Parts: sequence; structure tokens; C-alpha cells
Amino acid sequence: MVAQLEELYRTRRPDFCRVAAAITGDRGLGEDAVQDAFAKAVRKRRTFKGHGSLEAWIWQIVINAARDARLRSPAIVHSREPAAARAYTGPNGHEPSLPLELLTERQREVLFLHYYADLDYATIAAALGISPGTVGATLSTARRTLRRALTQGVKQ
Amino acid sequence: MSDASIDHLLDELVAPFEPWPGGWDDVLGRAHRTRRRYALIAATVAALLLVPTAVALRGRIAELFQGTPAPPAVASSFEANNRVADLATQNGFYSGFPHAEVSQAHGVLEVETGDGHEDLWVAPSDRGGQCYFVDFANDPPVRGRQYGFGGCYPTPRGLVLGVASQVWVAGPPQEWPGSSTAPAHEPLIDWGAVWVAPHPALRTLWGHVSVPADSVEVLLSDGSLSRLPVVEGFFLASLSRDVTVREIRAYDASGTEVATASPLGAHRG
Repeated sequence: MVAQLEELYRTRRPDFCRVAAAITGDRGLGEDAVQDAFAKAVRKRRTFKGHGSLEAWIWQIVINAARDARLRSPAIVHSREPAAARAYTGPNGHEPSLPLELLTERQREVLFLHYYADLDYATIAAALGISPGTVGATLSTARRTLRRALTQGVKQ
Repeated sequence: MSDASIDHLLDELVAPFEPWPGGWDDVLGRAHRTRRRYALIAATVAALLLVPTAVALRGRIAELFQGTPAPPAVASSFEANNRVADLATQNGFYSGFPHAEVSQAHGVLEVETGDGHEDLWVAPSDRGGQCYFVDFANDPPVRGRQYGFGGCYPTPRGLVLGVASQVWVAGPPQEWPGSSTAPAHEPLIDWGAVWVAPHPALRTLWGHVSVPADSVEVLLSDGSLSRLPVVEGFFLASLSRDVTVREIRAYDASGTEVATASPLGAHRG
């Protein structure tokens, strides 16, 4: 089991980190969340029930660790803006920014898991505890919301 | 604005990460640091409680283990015990063997031994009591079941069911679970000390206190005295095979003695 975790870590760490960084809004916090998540997985490996894939189980732990890290970060806790949105905002104020604040937390996480980690709907569903059908609908709604907001922004 | 534009913005939002060759060592270091922290806490508590220090007995180390859902191999072992109970009933041995509610099986006690962690898992029984299963964490499952032993409380006196395992009693006969020297009624402290085949240097001391208790004090043949926590009615420790148990005393949260047990039986203190 530890060998499987190590293999998953070595092959997928950049993807785990990218998703965690998007959730926390900070690259360092994201990397730290991934390290903590895998350490927890090593300690708790006997609780993996084998009902789903090991990767989906790890994604659950990573996502929870990233959420916790975001909540523990004072700079992010006191912000009214979603962390990921602030992380993107361009330095000159004129670049089109991704209005992630218009999305729900679930929509953002589905978007990140699908785009950054290239996960299929079934794995995303298992990682977030929702149905694959909900993943598809959520992803579609998220992209539609972003398209509409960005189009309106360009027209202005 | 197209999906490609959104993808471009997502790429700019979080740039890709590079592999980190030393990252896995850091993961293992974090995992072990946490374990050592629990061990240090346990050692500090033990130092306050043990008079004198019992080097032959190792106690609980992991607070976070309590409540951990049982892994599939342990759940399968509970299920196997249920089947053994059915078999016993079908063959006319006894009609009232409890069955474990396997879906609710969870970790209760984890102790450090010379062979890694030893765990005690508990599931409620369909007769209002509790069923338990004891295993070594590092033993590989056999045909999907975890190596170990278990039973239920209350139950026909001292029933112990070995599942996919070789469990042997070691020590004087009065330490055997289900000893004929025990009284007919359910003892206040029911305990046993067994040797599990893959771990020849160790014996497992486990037991159940059927009155509200917070801890037990265990007096060993080498004169050492150790206090163990009682969690959900159970206690667990790993013994060196060269020591035996002389007496066990149970205490409630206020420190009042509520029961005692010797190798010849148990009685209220």
C-alpha cells in the first residue's frame, strides 16, 4: 500500500499541487497541503476501504487538506474574495481576470480537478462525494458562467 | 470568449509544478513525526502513571486511532466470526452467539509492540453488547481477512474465535481465555493473554471491564505495575512472553477501584 502511494505521489505530484494551489490560492500552501495529505494517507492507509480507486481516496484527502490550509491562512480567511480569484488578478488591472468569485466552491473544485488534473468524471465524483452526472452538469455550468462573465467584461 | 480563453486563464492562474525528487522522503518524515508526537505524549502520560516503570508491557500510543473505520480485511474478519457463530448454532453448541454489526466496526485501541502496531477493533453486537477483533497492523491479510482473534461481550464465558490465524495461549492455564477456573457468571474484568503465531516474542494482553471504568492497573510477575486506559470497556497491551499477569485492578474516573481480577477469577474490589 505504501508503495502504491509512493508511485501515485511520484507520478502525479505536480497535478495534486496545482489543484491544491488553486484551492488555497497560494503555491506554497498548496504544496504543503499535498505533503501533509500524503503523510496522512500513509498513517491512515488501513482505513482505505477499497470501495473506490486509491487515487480518488487520495484526492479526497488532498482536497480536504487544501480547504483546511485555506481556512487556516489569516490572509485568506479575512478576504471577502475567493482565494483563487485573488491569486489570478493581474498586476496592471487591465488584464482579463478569471471571475472565480462567481462560482461556488464545488464549481471551482470540479473545474480545477478537471482542468489541472485531467481527471475523468468518475474520479472527480468519487473525490468530491457527488455523482458523475453532477460533475458534468457542474462543470458545464461553471464554464458557462465564466464565458458569460468574460464576454460581458470584454464588451465593457 | 471561448473555452480556450478560459483554459488560457486557468493556465495563468496556477503555473505547472515541477517534480520534487526528495518529496516522498519529506512525506514519510511528516508521517513519522506525527507518530513520534503521539508516542511522546503517551510516554509522558505513562511516566506519570507507572509506579514502577513496566518495561515488559507496552501501552496505548495513538489517540487518533479511536473511531477509525475498520479496513476491509478487518471487517471481513468480523464477518467470518459471525459465520463461525452461525456454524456453532447450527451444530447445537449454543443458540445465543452474538453477531457483530460489521458496518460499525471501528478502531478503539492501538499499542506499539516490538512487531509494529497492534490494534483492537470493536463493533456493536446484535445483542446489545460489543464484539472485538485484535490484530497486528503489519500482518498481511490472508484470503482477504486479517490475521487475528476476536469474540463478543457478553457471551458464553470467555469465547474466543480465531480467524485466519494461529492463536495460542501461553503461560499458566489460569491465563487462558475461557479458563475453567473462572466463575460461571460474567466477570467484571474478563481478560486473556495469548500468543499470536507470527509474533513469537510477544503475548497479547487484552480484556474487557463490564462496569464503568477509566483505567486498569496491571501487576506483572516481574513486579512492575502499569496503568492502561480503558476505552469503550476494553484494554490492550503487549507483553514480553517471559512475564505473566498477577492481578488486574479497574478504576473509575475518580480513581476509585471498581473491580479486581486475578488469574483465578474476578471480583469487585
